[in-house]
Amino acid sequence: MKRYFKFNILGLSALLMALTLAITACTNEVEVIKEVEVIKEVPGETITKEVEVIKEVKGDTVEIVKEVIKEVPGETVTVTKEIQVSVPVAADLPAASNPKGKLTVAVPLVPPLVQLQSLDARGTVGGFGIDWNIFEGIVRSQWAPPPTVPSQSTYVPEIASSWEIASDQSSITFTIRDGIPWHDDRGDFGNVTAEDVVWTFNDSFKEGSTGNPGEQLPPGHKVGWEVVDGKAQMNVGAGGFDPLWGMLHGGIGWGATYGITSKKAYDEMGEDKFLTDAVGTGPYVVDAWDGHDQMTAKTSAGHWRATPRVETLQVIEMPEQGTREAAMLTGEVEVAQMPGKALPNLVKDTGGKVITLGQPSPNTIYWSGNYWGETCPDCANTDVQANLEADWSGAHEGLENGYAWIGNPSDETSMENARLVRWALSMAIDRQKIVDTVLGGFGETAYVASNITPDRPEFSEEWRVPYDVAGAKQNLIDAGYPDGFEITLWSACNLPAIWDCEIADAIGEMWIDNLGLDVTVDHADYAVRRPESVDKSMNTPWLHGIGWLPGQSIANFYCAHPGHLGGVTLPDDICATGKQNDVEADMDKRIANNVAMTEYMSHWQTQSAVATVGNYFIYSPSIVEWRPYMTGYFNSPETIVLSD
Amino acid sequence: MGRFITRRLISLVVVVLGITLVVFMLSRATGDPRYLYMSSYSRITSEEWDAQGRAMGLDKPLIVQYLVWVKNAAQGDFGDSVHFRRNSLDLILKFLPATLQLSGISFLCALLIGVPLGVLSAVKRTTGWDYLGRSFALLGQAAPPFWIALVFIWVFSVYLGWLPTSRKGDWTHYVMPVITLGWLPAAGLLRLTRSSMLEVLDSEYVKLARAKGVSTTTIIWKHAFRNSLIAPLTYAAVLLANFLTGTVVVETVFAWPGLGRLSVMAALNTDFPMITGLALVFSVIFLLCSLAADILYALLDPRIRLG
Repeated sequence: MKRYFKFNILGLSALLMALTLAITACTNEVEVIKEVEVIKEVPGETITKEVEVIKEVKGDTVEIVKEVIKEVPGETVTVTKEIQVSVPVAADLPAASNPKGKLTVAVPLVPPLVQLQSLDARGTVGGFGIDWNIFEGIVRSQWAPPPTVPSQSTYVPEIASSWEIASDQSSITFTIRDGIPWHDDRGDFGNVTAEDVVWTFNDSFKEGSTGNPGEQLPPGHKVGWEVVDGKAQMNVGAGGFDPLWGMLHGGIGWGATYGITSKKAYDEMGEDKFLTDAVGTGPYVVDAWDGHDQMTAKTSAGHWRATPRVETLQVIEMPEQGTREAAMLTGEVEVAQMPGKALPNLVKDTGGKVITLGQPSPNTIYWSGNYWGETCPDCANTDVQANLEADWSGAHEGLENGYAWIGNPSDETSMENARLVRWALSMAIDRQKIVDTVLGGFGETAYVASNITPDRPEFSEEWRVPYDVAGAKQNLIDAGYPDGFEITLWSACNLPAIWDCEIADAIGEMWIDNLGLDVTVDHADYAVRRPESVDKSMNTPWLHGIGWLPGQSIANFYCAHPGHLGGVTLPDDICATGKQNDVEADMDKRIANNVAMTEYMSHWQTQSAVATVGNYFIYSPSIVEWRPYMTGYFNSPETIVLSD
Repeated sequence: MGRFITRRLISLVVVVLGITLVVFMLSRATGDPRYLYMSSYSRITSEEWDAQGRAMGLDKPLIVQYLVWVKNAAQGDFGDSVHFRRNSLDLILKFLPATLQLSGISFLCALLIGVPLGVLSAVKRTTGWDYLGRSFALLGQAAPPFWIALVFIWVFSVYLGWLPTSRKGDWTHYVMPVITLGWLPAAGLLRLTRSSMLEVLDSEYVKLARAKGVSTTTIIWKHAFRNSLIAPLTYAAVLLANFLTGTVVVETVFAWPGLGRLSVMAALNTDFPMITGLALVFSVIFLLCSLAADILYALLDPRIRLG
């Protein structure tokens, strides 16, 4: 045994050495858009149809031609009106003759590429893929320097060179630009065709699709695409035509949705390989896209739209904020996504500049459990209030347990008391203090969930919630809670770019100090409790918030439907007003509809916004030019110019 | 020995099945993965919802889903990751090398630092060496790894500029993650080795050896060290399993693309095939290391009989 022992000690040592060896082996100025519209009125004629055709004339200038078809009894006369629009697209920078250098960007998340619309639950092609210049959409929004909100209704051609909306709004027909090649490093897949576009969209509509973009479309836009006369035609079905179609169908530089993918590549590579091996058309060609690690890409030589000035792009995942901060300080990265409170020192120490990408999110308390909608048209049981126990258990349980913030829509006293409670809790929050301390001054006070901030013209001073502790206490007394109550506030900490969970900590402390409530702040990760918001068992107030655009169709998130909700639904009549935006073309009316919803939500304080949190990026002084879109991600690397 | 190993392998299968069953059920406790992917402005209908469920195999009872998973896993198919949309086993194997490299080097460093320092600390008891060794152990066991990691980054990357902040790369990228990961176990090994050595050095046969005039070096390395190895080496086997399965914090702070990061992302995305697959791999690693520890017992101490 002694010899055996010796042998094994030697053997063990050899094994350890072998293991060691094995392991070690191993700028242009922005042009002002000018629209010159000439309308000729011809007495006796009645305008019955209007067709909009958009054609690109030059690389950076778009000519919009409106054909107004006027019908005169007995004959049809076509009168053409031209509107010249000089559109400052990001690609109007002078082309680079010799791309050079490397740009490294640190972000909290590099998702795995899922290059198939029906499986792309995170929108990696239409979101990250377009933002990082790998893929392109059929249209884009007009570029405007952040934080300017770009036009939501005028789009710039991209893969589609022009489009035509049928006079009866039953279809949009896209002419696909000739000669756009697919990236050829993984095979020869030819040029983009109408078939590719049709296939891309239809794939997201097929049965069992979990694709993110498809979920966001109104039903009328999901009836299917087809190739007609060599063009890609989107058919519109029952449910109507959404005038902001470009927001939904294109890589519009705003929470982009659809990046066009190659059917030929899918057929030749097979699904498994196609899912992970990017074949795009953008100015950058992917070298490696390794989810939760990095994405590296090289310039696409002679790209049809824009040739980047930086040769290599590397986007790396650094989940820890402190690590990103350190990497910025050491110069390992040129761009880093950071929370606002880290910025003042970082700007001072690096000399970098800060930019907010994406509409800031109003961190808002959703007073969950207040499901007041009467009907849910798409639910199995359409009568909401008759099925609270079965389908809307958050409300049922909340009312059974007597949660102070939940009102019973069939009981006026209950509704008023709960309203007083919600107002009390909102009035006990010192919003400015939260902005100054928790957010380090990078943020704004907010009052309404619809993201109509105090700097907007439609903001009503009546929506402003005062910081009034005495008034808040009186409200609680009036509502029958002079001694307070227990309450849990949930705020996930794993999505700091949009929701700052330290705001919830501050709110909790203020409720304890100002109102004497028994507060628990729950920091469970988003995935843990999100299901409650979908199966409607949610009745815990929580911090959420969406950076809605002015005039965006927001009602779906606040009204009864089978999907994800904030834990609150509004009555049907209020929803009817908001849902007009699904088909409303006039932007002023759209905004007015949202204002009407906001009036209601403010009065009833169904949601209490606290402060907006921006999606901040700091970039080093070595970047002398960058023209990003207002998306929430790092984007438009093709416009970045590094100093020599 | 053969019977012992056979018996342990059979029990290993039972334990692994039990672990995967528990993890499979727990991974569903947070709800349906469709809940996570549904967007805030989703306009999905109940028919589309059901179709998604069928596509993901969620329309069957949980226990049936589990049995289907076991059958497929036995054939090497852990199912497609809901988050990555790729075979879970392929992904685990893709992320494994980064963890193996980091863990392996950390493990060796922990062994090579902890054990000799433990011997030194015991032999030089109550001297400066002993206090130095114990201070090293105290600090390593008291300071949380995420704190050590961040302090290292600020000192060695930001202020001194000696090392890169993070990520996998050349040898310089290994220094801080290896020390962060290896410090705590090295401290444990140091303390175990020290106490074992002290116990052996106080034994009668060592006193006899000294009385017989055997040299100090022979006493320490031949008589004492070998007999004091049982506890540290047993601990080391379990430690190796911990290294391979417990690198979440270090991989997160240092942006290291290994199994730790993969586990976090699987949990955050309710990626149940991946969570269950990882649980299977981790439990097998852990149980095999435990088995190795038991076998080491017998090899190191002839008085121990397995069976």
